[in-house]
Amino acid sequence: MDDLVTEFLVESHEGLDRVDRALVDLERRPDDTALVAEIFRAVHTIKGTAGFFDFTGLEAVTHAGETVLARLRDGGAALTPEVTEALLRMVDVVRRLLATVEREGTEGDLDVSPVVAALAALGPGAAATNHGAPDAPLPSTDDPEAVGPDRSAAVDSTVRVDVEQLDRLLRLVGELALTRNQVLQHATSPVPGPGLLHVAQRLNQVAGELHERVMQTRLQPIDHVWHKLPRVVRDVAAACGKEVDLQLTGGDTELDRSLLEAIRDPLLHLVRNAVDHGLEPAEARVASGKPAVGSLALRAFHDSGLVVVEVSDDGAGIDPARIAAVARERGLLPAEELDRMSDRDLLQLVFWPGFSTAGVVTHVSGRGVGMDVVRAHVHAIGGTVEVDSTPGLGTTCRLRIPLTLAVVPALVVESAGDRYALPQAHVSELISLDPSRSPQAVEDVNGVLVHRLRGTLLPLVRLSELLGVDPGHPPDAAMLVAVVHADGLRVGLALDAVLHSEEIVVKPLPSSLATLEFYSGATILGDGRVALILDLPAVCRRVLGPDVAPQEPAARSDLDDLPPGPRLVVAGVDGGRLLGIPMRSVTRLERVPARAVQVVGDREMIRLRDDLLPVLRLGPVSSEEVSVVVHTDSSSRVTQSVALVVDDVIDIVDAAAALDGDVHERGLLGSAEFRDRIVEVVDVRAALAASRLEGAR
Amino acid sequence: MSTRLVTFVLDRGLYGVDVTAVREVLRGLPTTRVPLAPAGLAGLVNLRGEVLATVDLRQRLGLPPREEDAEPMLVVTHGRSESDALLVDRIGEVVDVGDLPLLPPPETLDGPARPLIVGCYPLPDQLLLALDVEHLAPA
Repeated sequence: MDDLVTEFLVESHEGLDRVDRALVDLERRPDDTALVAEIFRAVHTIKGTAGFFDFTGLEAVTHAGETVLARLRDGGAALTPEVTEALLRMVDVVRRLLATVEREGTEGDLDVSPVVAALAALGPGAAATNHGAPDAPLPSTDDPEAVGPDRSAAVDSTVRVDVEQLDRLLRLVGELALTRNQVLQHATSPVPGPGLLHVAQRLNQVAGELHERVMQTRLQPIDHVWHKLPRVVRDVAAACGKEVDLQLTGGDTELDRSLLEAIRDPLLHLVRNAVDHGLEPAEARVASGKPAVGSLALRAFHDSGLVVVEVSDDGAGIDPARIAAVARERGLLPAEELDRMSDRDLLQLVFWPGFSTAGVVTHVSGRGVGMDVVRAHVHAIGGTVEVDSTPGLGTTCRLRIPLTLAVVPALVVESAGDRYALPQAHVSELISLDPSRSPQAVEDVNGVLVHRLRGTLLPLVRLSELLGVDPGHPPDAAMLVAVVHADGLRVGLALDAVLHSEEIVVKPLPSSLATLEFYSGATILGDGRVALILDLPAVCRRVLGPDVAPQEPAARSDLDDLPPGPRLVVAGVDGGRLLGIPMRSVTRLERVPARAVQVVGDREMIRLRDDLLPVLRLGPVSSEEVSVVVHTDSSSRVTQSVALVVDDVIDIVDAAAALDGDVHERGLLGSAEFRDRIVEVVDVRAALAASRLEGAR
Repeated sequence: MSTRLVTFVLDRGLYGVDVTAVREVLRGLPTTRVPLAPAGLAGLVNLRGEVLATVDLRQRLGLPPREEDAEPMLVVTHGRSESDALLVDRIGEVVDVGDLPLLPPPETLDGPARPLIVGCYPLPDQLLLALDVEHLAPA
């Protein structure tokens, strides 16, 4: 396409965005003449250029619009809702014409006369303005989708860069060339001089700054996505018969343009959702003592290396109980799982596929594009999304997005002679464990290594073992452990050495490796060698076994498939009975003398270090020394721990297959097989509830 | 139209890929191994900022492994979707096979090598096996 036309398209789209915004503002401040002047200028420019290219349709529409605007500007007419509506329609028609120009190089055959007529009808001599709508059907703008995805490739493929910024880049490139010459001089001189180090430092500095500046040219204020929102909110609100006050704060927060692109749709969806489902109709609002006009606030800000975007409404909020009910009804999760979940966790279920609590599917939302798509989009760019809500007071959706796609702070570590990069977002601390000095540091629970980290059990795994390259370690070798976390899971990853931390540039893996579980990409280290970037969430999920709820909803989609068995602590009680306790809820394993169990009042208690814990006996115990399995229930509001007393902890195993759920005995989840014997899997919560009942009696 | 192949030696055999699919030929680059990678994938190399998978052609073709101290050369190819670096023993000449018939691979040839071989050209002194660049990297 002609460069001139491309430039015209880019400018016109920018002009139209300004018009959209100014028109919506104008509705609130009809007396602001500066706004009218701004709209007039933008429309006038489009008209002028359209005339130059001989786009007659565009010219006719904008001319009609300009006439109306001129009267507004000169005080010859007042801004009525009809006028605003007609002008917004004009904007839409112009957009449509521009899109055709971009696609085909001509205006196409869109009939502009209805809009021209509608605009002309607003003028003097025509019928009274409120009867101004012509009979001919206008190109409809009732569909708010029409405003959202009107992307123009011409606009999206260009970026505006400050000339000063470009000058700085050029200066830096000059520096780079200079430094290269110095390096070459050193390389060709027979004796490497001491200046080489100096030149190397200089090179490092110049390259670093250059990289940063280039990344900066890609940063754009989030306002570029937001500027469409006032119009979207206006249209959606009108379609639902609501009034909404939209506040935007932090529009100058900058993001990489590819990320900006990626969050455009999720953000639009959240905003539409908030207006359509979040905010109540005016009568309901007044009835519950709120102002009739709903409030929708968007806030963007930087927070510890991430950009946070919040969409908050002061609507009815989401009731966790309702979410739980819907999840139960649709069989998304087993009932006992739902009972165990906190209100916060329940709310996050709205991001699961096939989840919509909307009672009524309106034409605004409920198009099958759900919150799960929002989450998928945000996850795809390495971000997260969560929802917070107080029933009656409102809902806040919070997106956390990395600043740029390309650079990630990471820890470079060594394991079995190879180097790997660990994204720091998932590393919470480093600890050094030396079993030869303190035997308690690493405990072996039948093959599973654990470390007691501030009172909780941290499962340990050697990275080299996980990757199948373990050269073999003496059992009491010292360990350097990176505590990694993801999705609420925590694992201690044992390494050979931590080399340094570095801002790494993420490169995609060749496709033959993309399916490997543990790597999320590759990077090139300072010495030019490639290092793999570990996918720490995948590592956590793998180490903690299949009993940890998989975050991918896909894994849940087919509930007919037998879920893999949970990881169990197998314990023996008197008479050789075997009991299985789901590992997920176990926070400590201790061996204590049997007499440590004391009777306090009518209950048995045990003192473990500083905690006094209630005791639950799963069966009669005969040994002098007993094992205590501490079960902690942190899913309800109050964290509760209980000590389960058994004879002996025998092993920790993955239950081979699904629990056989035919055992309907109270307090049991089912049974599993262990070394050809039957293990009764304890439902600790149920057992606990039962013992409380007995205690009460 | 003449067909020209970049040839290379693996074990004792002569192999070739279409010259238009070859980006460049290099001496060894430091390779990063990839634990758990599919067999035949030797590792990753940095080619001027691009991360490429290196393919151990000997393993892919079911040939005995290279001697420990032999340094392989890299033939960088670009297929339809992405580039790979092929590890070969020694690089040969670019051979014009325009006049020669492309014979089907020997009937008795099976095993891992079969799907990778397009056919063979009878050179005066040796057979040249033509490889399919699209299928050399392990899936």
